[in-house]
Amino acid sequence: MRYEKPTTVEAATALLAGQGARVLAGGTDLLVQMRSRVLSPDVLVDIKGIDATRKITKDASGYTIGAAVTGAELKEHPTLSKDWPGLVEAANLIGSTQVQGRCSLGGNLCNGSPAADSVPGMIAAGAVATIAGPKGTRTLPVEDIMLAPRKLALTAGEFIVSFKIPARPAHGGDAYLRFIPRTEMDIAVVGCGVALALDAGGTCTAARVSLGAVAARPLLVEDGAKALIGTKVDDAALAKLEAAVRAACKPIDDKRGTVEFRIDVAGTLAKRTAKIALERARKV
Amino acid sequence: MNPQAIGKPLTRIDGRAKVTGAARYAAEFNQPNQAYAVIVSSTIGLGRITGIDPAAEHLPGVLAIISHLNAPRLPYNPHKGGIDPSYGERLHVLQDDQVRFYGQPVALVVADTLVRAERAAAALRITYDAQHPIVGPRDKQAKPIAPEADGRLEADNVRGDPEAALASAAVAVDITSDIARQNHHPMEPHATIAAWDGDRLTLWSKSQFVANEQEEIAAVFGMAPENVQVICPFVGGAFGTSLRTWPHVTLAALAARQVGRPVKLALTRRQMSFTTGHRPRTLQRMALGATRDGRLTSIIHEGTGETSRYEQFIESLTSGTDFMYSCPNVRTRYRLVPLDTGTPTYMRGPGEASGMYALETALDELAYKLGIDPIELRRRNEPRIDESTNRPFSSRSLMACYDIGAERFGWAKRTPEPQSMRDGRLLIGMGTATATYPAMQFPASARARLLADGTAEIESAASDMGPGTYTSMTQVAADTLGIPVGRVRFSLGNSDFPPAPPHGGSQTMAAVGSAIRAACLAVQDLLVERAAANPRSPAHNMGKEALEWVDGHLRRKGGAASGQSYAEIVGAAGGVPVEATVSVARDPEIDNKYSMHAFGAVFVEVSVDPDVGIARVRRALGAYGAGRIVNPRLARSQCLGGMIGGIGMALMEHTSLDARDGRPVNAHMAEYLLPVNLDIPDLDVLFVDEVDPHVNPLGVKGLGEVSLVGMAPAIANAVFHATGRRIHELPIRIEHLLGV
Ligand SMILES: Cc1cc2nc3c(=O)[nH]c(=O)nc-3n(C[C@H](O)[C@H](O)[C@H](O)COP(=O)(O)OP(=O)(O)OC[C@H]3O[C@@H](n4cnc5c(N)ncnc54)[C@H](O)[C@@H]3O)c2cc1C
Repeated sequence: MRYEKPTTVEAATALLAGQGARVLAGGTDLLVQMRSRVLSPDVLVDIKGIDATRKITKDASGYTIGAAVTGAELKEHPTLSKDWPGLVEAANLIGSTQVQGRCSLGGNLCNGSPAADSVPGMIAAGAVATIAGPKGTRTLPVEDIMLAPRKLALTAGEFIVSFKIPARPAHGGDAYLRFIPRTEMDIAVVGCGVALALDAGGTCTAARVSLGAVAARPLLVEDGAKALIGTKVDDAALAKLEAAVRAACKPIDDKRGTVEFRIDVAGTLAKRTAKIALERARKV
Repeated sequence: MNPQAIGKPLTRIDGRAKVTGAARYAAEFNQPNQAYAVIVSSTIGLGRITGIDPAAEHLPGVLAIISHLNAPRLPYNPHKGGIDPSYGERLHVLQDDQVRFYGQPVALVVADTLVRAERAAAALRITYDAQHPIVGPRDKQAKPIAPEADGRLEADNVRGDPEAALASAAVAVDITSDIARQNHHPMEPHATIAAWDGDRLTLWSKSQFVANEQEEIAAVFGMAPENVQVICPFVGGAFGTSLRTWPHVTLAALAARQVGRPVKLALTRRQMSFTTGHRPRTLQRMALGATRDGRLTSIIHEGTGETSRYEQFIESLTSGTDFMYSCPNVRTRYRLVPLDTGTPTYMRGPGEASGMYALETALDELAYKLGIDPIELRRRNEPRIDESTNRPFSSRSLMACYDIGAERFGWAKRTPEPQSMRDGRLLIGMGTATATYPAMQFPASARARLLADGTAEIESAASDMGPGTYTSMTQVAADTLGIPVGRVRFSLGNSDFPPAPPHGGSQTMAAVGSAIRAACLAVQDLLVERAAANPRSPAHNMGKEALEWVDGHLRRKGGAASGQSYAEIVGAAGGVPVEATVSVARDPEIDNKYSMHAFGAVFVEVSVDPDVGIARVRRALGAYGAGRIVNPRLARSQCLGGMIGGIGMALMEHTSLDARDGRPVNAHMAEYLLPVNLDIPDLDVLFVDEVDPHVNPLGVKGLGEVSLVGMAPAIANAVFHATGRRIHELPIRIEHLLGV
């Protein structure tokens, strides 16, 4: 096995185009999987030497967050938590303090687990990935990247350099909640991200609802958004949201939760998440 | 004895060594030229090995690949230690092609580094002829059997006519419960470093019972026990999984002999779910009959535990039921279901933890049916004597535990109706349950040595897996000798020391503490003899009866002079240390005279979120009557640990097996859920001031197990109170509580 730490995007894509190459970001998934021999890459391409993967920049159009920025760094950013608290909270739920010092948004997404915590947060926020590959750079909304467990829309040699998060709307708020049997350090049985925007009168003008761990991939629930848009996010709208979310779930039975239970909890969680997002949107 | 240290909340004597990393655990005794062994575990649940491809032998660094094809035949002489099942024969490793359960060791790779050993182990190709294993006691092909009589445990007891009494009872409950298999999963994995020097073998090995490990390995290899030394000064948690000597110890010794180098072998977390025992899954029926005013007229307890096909693991599943409450008609019955799994073993609170769950949840249900407060119901059935043996209790403070516990917990604030208490949208429930565990005491021995500088060295092959043995034994020695704890050095965890019983069954304080006390008294007698023989001593020519020890000084009884110190007596005889080794066993008459148990009352408050079905413990309190409390700080800490174990048992822990091949599907800490910090609420521990003059000279009963026992039923009872839903399965999962 070889370890490489390129400093340019081009060098990285060239290495990644080779046989058995794999991106290394924080390694909190990859190294665990290598230890248990789920994965045995020939070349580890550490992307943390590439400047663009490691920084957060802000301009009028929003934020650009490097794919290898750690959870702890997201939290420390002076304005990100104010603008997108749900997204940062989702990323900060990953693991423990130790894991937070290493784990990244790129790794969380590209590990390809339907239960990844930050992914519904990113999808709700409308994050778009910037993907570099041997043929150049392209962009793809986060909800289109994961196709099935461990299966991504990235092709050979491609990796995610950064995520573009739009500027927060004037009266916008987001939130992420997950449901776990234990109180901390557990894998989501259901995760839900909601972002919404209000007009000056408090009517919802835009919304995005995303679910994790209830299907083979994280979901963008269009009907959930429709349930909220045009309403004051009152109880009737929340009831519609709950129904839409339940309808969207296609979970599996596993040792962490049964189908019925996941569907049931997803609806409840979506309502709770939407209420927090609403509170936040009203306050700004 | 003038207690100066006993009863004081001393901090751990070994605490500093533990937090600074100076404490060395088994896997840290690295030896020069050490090689590394990795176990290859079977990937089928039943069948035979048909082939092993030797290609991995040529990988870099590989020193040996050992399997049944090339392993030497080991003598495996008969040996059954106090913790081995008395019926059946232990697993013999690498001796034949049979696979008896998933994860059984089928080969061993030895290499010069761990990484190379792991790589070769992963590359080793093994082919099997697989059969379908039966791994669940409810499987239609699983057949319960009556355990062979073994003398250690009386199952199948009956008094009166419980069937008739149940049939005619004014009020009855009849419930069945199913408690999941659990693994111990202590922080420190099993590990052994084995080194041979000619015919002598040294094992630095994680063990709660070094004396047994010495004898077991000697028997397996056909050696004299004195040629085996087992060293284990520190244990990073064990909960019973390091009582028996499991196959990896044999494998480490075998590997070291094969490659002619010291060998280190540590189990992976995954392997901790295969061959090192587990709490057996149990199925139970509990039927209670009572009069309208709540007097028990019938108790029927039928328990079934799983075991392996090659050994009968028996635990005291039904024992508590025999004597816990006053009832003229009681029948207890115990069965085993042999399955294609490894042999279960003792896990903290073995038997009682599961059995008392059935009894105490049934009793709670009866309380609701009768409309009687659960504590009052227990009060009405409090026995005066142990009705199963007609012996008095050496002491029994159960009702005192309920009294002080209820008071501190605020039981009076509980409204009896289910679903009647709320905090916002959360349903609140309060539950209570009785805990018990026998006060055992196996024979133990210790050595006390007084040195010329007036300090004492105490040795016993005991263990300290966390309760604070180092500290509490030092307290006992210091008080017996009448010197400050700082002048006592206690060493344990070495099979060269005088043997001690298993560090399990909540008996270390009673057994080893009594032995240390006796050794200290014996050394004092020797010192009296020395002083009496010394013409310059004030005690010259005086008999023991005329002398007394006061604060570490020997003086004439009632005399004014301060007397001679240990240093002076030892120094006067040329400074040669004086030592005594003593064995202590409980007077067998005591066992015939008294029924001896620790008791406790546990109180729990849970919240249940009705929208998502999640139950959380909000606060819990345990009140225990366990004899003399040697160190209140460590005793409290030990109880907190037990209560947390009970939270795990009630709400999280569950080794889940794939029915197709017996593979534990959650053999790692991400999915074998244990309570984490945020799951642990406000816990409180109280001790009844209990004086037991009979149980042993120290008056101690032990706390390790009793503190886990009542927790799970108290939680289940609180969940019922919160929701009105009775869950008869552990762990209680979200699925059980949806839609409450
Ligand atoms: C103790 C512990 C607790 C955890 N708890 C949680 C939790 O609560 N919630 C949760 O969601 N996860 C959890 N995880 C999983 C893990 O920490 C997260 O998924 C984390 O975000 C992964 O990020 P990373 O930077 O460490 O990824 P890495 O391990 O470096 O990479 C993960 C995968 O993604 C690929 N990859 C990484 N970056 C890129 C990129 N930029 N472009 C393309 N491919 C890429 C890698 O090749 C690899 O296959 C936990 C892990 C541990 C060890």
